[in-house]
Amino acid sequence: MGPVSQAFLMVLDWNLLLTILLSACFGIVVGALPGLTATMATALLVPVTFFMPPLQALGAIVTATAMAIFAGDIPAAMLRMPGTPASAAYTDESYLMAKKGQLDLNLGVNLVFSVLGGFVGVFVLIVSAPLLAEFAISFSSFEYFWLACLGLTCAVFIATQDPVKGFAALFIGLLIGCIGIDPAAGYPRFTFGTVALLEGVSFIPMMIGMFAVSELLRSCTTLDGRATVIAQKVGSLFGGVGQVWRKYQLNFWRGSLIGTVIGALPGAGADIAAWISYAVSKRFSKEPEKFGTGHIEGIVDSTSANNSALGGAWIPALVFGIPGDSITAIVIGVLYMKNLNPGPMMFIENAHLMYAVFMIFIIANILMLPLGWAAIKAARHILSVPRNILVPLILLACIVGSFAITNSINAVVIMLAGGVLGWLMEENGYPVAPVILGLVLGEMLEQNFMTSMIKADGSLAGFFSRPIAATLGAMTIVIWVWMLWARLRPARSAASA
Amino acid sequence: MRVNDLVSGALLILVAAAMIGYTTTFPPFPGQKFGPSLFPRLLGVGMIICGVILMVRGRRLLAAGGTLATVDDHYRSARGAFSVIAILGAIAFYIAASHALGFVITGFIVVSFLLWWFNVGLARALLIALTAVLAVDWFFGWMFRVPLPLGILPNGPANILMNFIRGR
Repeated sequence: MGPVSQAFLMVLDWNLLLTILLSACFGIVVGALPGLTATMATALLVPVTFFMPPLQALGAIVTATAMAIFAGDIPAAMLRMPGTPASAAYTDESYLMAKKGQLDLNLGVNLVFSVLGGFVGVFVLIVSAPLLAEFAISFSSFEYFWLACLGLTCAVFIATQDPVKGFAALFIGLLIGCIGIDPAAGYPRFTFGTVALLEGVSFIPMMIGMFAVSELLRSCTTLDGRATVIAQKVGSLFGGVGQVWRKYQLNFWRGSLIGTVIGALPGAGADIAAWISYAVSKRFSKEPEKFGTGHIEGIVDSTSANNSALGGAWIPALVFGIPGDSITAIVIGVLYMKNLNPGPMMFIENAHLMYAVFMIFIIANILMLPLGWAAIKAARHILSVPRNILVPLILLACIVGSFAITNSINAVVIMLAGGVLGWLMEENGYPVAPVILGLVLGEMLEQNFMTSMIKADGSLAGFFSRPIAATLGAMTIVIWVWMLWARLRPARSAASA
Repeated sequence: MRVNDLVSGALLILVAAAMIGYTTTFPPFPGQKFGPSLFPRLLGVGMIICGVILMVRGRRLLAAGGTLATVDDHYRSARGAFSVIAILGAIAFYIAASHALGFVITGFIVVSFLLWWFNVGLARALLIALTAVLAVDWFFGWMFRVPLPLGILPNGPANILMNFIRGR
């Protein structure tokens, strides 16, 4: 039996399909509630997936995130509050459309183009990932070292407004990753003589702390005052969508492709994809003056882009083990936990699993149509869940979720530390995602680095002895030098002025 | 609280320096000039570079009339600041008490206190907290067999109930 038919049989499992359905509902609710992001949905879901077989765990994450990114569009139109950051780029535009009485059309377009955009992302993932894996199979530790460096550098560059703080955050994450037994020599580092730190800082409690607890700390000060849902009945959603498709087909393809590519770039995810494709849409529009007045054109681009980015982000995650966004960073952590090391070998040893994940992507996008429709119809109820009740309940889920991973209270301590650290960092303009990237990739980066050092007998020239490694290395170093130069140059010109 | 980059940059340098100091106690690989200390030291150098750039930038901001630290408006109100403390305190209380009191009781106290603090009526808060704790106990404690701390209870409520149903 070939891997595809094997995968098909794996997907046709009632437990799996039920998991997909439940995580879809979970993703929609979390995505639709402003302040709860798709990343947070994943963070809260991971402790549950810990107890599932690998495919079920991955399926739950795939489905929940796809739904959350779409569902974020609903409160954008109804409350002028993006449900997830991925909808922020066109929140005003959506809200203005709703105010003009086009709420139905707006939500219909958001739903249909989210589904279609998702399909484009998945299609590119299915076609390109196995090809790239074949190419990557010849990579040695030198290539992986530079690839990880380049990926992390891109992550810091694209995803953060302030690269210096982004790098600082990345180094903090890598440093936290160093705690515990070191991967090359087995020497216990930074444990301060305690047994609890020997195994290192557990990734899931840290992530729950940084992505969920810090978010609670940030939002708990503004809990009073409930948002008012726009008073408009939702009618037929799909009425004008066909017309929009005919008029803006080009925008859809452009947005989806931009989304996939940006998703595939390490570190940049759905939110950045939406911002960029919205800007591109405006730049090349025949009617740029209509943007910002409740015009559908930019929404077509960006709502397709943020959903296609999800599929794109899985490409580097599965092929190289380098996450495309913070969600896939969590996915990589989950893969390691399940003893599935992401990388090209996955496509050989576990090809059926990969194909099954691809199939779940497709199922999730098909499921989005009816569930999204239902969510829009029920939006008034979802959006009226009071946030002051949610915060304590989410906190309880965080505590128990962290505990469940190691069955030890130390995990809750790590969660608390991660929460405070994440909160203080975000308050001071330090991005949090690079910390998690560093924590997830730290061991892989160091292992490849140390292996390369030993192979090259401590000589740096060895890192450039293979053509692909040399190219990747040169690219990375050019970016680093350019960054340093760009940081120091304004200082000089400001000083001379 | 927002601090000037001068402060956070200095903090980064301090942490990096302390870490590099710690790495001097690590042994090298046999027969090599480097060992487990190499990678953290490189990270330390990176952190120091970031810290220096941030300090230079912070000093320039300070010279241009910036402040060393500011507190955002929503934390400035007593309630805002105390909400943060309430959440942190609730987690700390859970860490300290859950072993002795058990998950059900500690979780109930934590959730009902926070609900009450965030302006949910007391009766409603107690009811929601009880439902939430029992649901979590059923989901994690019974379904996934997570050994949630029992404390003073003989067994988790969901386990007691399921054992009773099964006639054990």
